[in-house]
Amino acid sequence: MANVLIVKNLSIQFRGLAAVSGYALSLEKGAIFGLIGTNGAGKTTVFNMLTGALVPDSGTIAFEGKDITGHRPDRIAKRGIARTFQNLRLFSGISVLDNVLVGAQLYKHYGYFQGILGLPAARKDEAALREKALELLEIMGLADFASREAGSLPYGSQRRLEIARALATRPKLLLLDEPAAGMNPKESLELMETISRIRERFGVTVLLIEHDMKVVMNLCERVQVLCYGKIIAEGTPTEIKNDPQVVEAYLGRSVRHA
Amino acid sequence: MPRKPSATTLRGIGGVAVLAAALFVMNLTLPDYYLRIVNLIGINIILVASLNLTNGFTGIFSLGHAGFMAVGAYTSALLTIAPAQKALALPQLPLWLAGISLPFPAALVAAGLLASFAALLIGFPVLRLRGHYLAVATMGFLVIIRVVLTNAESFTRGARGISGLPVFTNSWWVFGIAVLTLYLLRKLVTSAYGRGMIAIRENTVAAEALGIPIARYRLIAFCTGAFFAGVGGALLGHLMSVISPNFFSYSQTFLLVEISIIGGCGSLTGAVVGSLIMTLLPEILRNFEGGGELFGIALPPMYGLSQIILASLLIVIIIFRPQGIMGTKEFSWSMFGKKRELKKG
Repeated sequence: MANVLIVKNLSIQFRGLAAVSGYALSLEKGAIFGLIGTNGAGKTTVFNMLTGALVPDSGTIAFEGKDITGHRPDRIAKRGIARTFQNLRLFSGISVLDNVLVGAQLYKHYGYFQGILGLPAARKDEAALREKALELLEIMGLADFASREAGSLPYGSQRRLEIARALATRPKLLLLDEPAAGMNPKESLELMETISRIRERFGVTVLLIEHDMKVVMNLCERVQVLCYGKIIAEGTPTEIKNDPQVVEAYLGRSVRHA
Repeated sequence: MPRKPSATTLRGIGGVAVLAAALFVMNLTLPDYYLRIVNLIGINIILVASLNLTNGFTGIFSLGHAGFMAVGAYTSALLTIAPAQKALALPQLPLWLAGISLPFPAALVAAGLLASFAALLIGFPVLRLRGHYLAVATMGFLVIIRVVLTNAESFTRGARGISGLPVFTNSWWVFGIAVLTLYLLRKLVTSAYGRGMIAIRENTVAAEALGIPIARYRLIAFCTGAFFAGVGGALLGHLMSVISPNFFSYSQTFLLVEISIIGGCGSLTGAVVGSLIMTLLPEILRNFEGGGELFGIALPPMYGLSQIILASLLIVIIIFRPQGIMGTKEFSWSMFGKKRELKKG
C-alpha cells in the first residue's frame, strides 16, 4: 500500500491548552480524505502543522517516506504539499493570472541576474509559466478573469482561484480548508465535480476540511472526526454517520440544548 | 532569430531620445543653479525608485536608505580622490587605499556593491522583523552608520567630512543612471522575483505556503534597493563635492520616504512623479518666502512657508489618497487614448 503521508502522534499546545493531541493519519495515494469536526476542534491546526506554518510539540510527519516535521513552509511546498485557506488569502491587489503565476514560479529556471537584466532566458521561461498558469485558469473556469484584480472576483471564484493557485505548485498532496464555505448548493455541487476532476487529471491526493456534510459524504472515501483536538472516529462516510460517538459530538449537544 | 523591435521598445527609445534632447537644451540654456536642481530630481528618482522596491513592492518598511547612500558616497569618495590630495586630507589611510584612484563608473559600481554588502549584513538579523519593528531596526542601522563615519576619522575625517570630491556628476550621468535604474527595476518587478516580492507584501503566509522563500526574497529586495541607494549617494557626493555624516541623517531618509509616499510607493512611475514634485515645489515655494509680488499682489516675507506647505501636502495626500499619486499603477501609453485588453504572448 502506497501511503503518501504518514502522521504519527502529532501534538501541539497553545499556552498550555492542548489544541491537537495524538493526531495520526495515513493517506493512501490518490485518496480523497475528509477531516470533520466542530469549530475549534483543531482541524486547521492540523493543516498548519502539515504545511509547516506551525511546528508541532511532538510527533512526526512523513511525506513520501521523508520526514518533514517542522520544516519551513516554502520547503514543504517545494516537496509537493499545497494548501488553500479557510479565510481566503489571495494576493488581492494583483491580477488573477499573477496569483497563479506566484504558485507556478516554483518551477522557474532563471536566476536573479537573468531576471533583472530581462535576458531572453527569463522571457522565454516567463512565457512558458504564463501558458501553464492560463491552462490552470481554464480548468478552474477562471480564464475570463485572468487580467482582473483578484480581490474583485466574486466570492466563489476567489475560492476557485485559491485552488488554481495551489495546483500551480504541482502538488502531490492538496489540502483544502473548507473549500465549499459560503457557497450555495449549486456552487458546492460544481466544486465537488471539480475536485474529483482535479484528482483524476493531476493524480493528486486530497485532504479536505469541510462543514458541508453533503460534500464530505459524496466526495470523500474516508473521513476522520476531530473533537477537542483528538480523533474520535475514522472510517467510510457511512460508518461515520452511524458512529454513536460522532452523533453524540455533533447532535447530542443540540438535543440537550433543545 | 532576430526579433522585430516591439512598439514598447520603440516608444522607450523615443522617450530616451526626447529626454536626451531636453537635457542637451537645458545644459546649454539653464544657469548652474537650476541645472543642479534638475540633477537633484534625477538623483531623487534613483533613490526613491530603489526605496520603493523595498518599502512599496516588498512591504519592508525601511528607514535606512540614507545609511546606504552614505556607504556609497564615502566609498566613491575614497576611491576617486587623487592620491596627492588624499595624502594631505587623509594621511592615515591604509596604503592600498591611499594610492588608488578609480574612474567614475568603476567607483559608482563599487559604491553600489559596498552598500549592497552593508544591506546583506544588516538584513540577516533585521529582516525577520515586521512592520514598525523593522522600521525602528533600520533606523538603528542609520545611527550605527553615522557613528562609524564620525569616529573612523582616518577614513572619513569624522564630523568634519570630506571635501574636494571630484565633481564628476553631471546631468548625463544622473539621467543615464536614472533611466538604467528604472529599466532594471522594472525588469525585476515584472520577473518572478518581483512577483514573489509583491506576493510577500500582499499576503506573507500565502506566499510562503506557495513556496516563496520569504527571507531570501526580502534580502534580495533589500540588497538591490541598497545597491541603487549607494550609487545615488555617490552621485550626490560627486555633485556636492562635500560629504559629511550629518548629510546622511534622518531628514534625508524621511525626505525620501515622503517623496515615495506622495508619488505612490508601489510604483516606479510614482518615484518619478514624486521626485519631480517634491524637488521642484520647495524651490518654487522658496522664492516666495522672502516676500514679493504674485499676480500684482504684494506678499509679506513668510519664512518657513515652503516647509509648512509641503507638510500640509503630505497630510492631505495621506488623508485623501493614502496610496500616493500613482498607487501601484505604472505609466503606460494606454493611459491615454483607448483602453487595450491585456494581451501578451
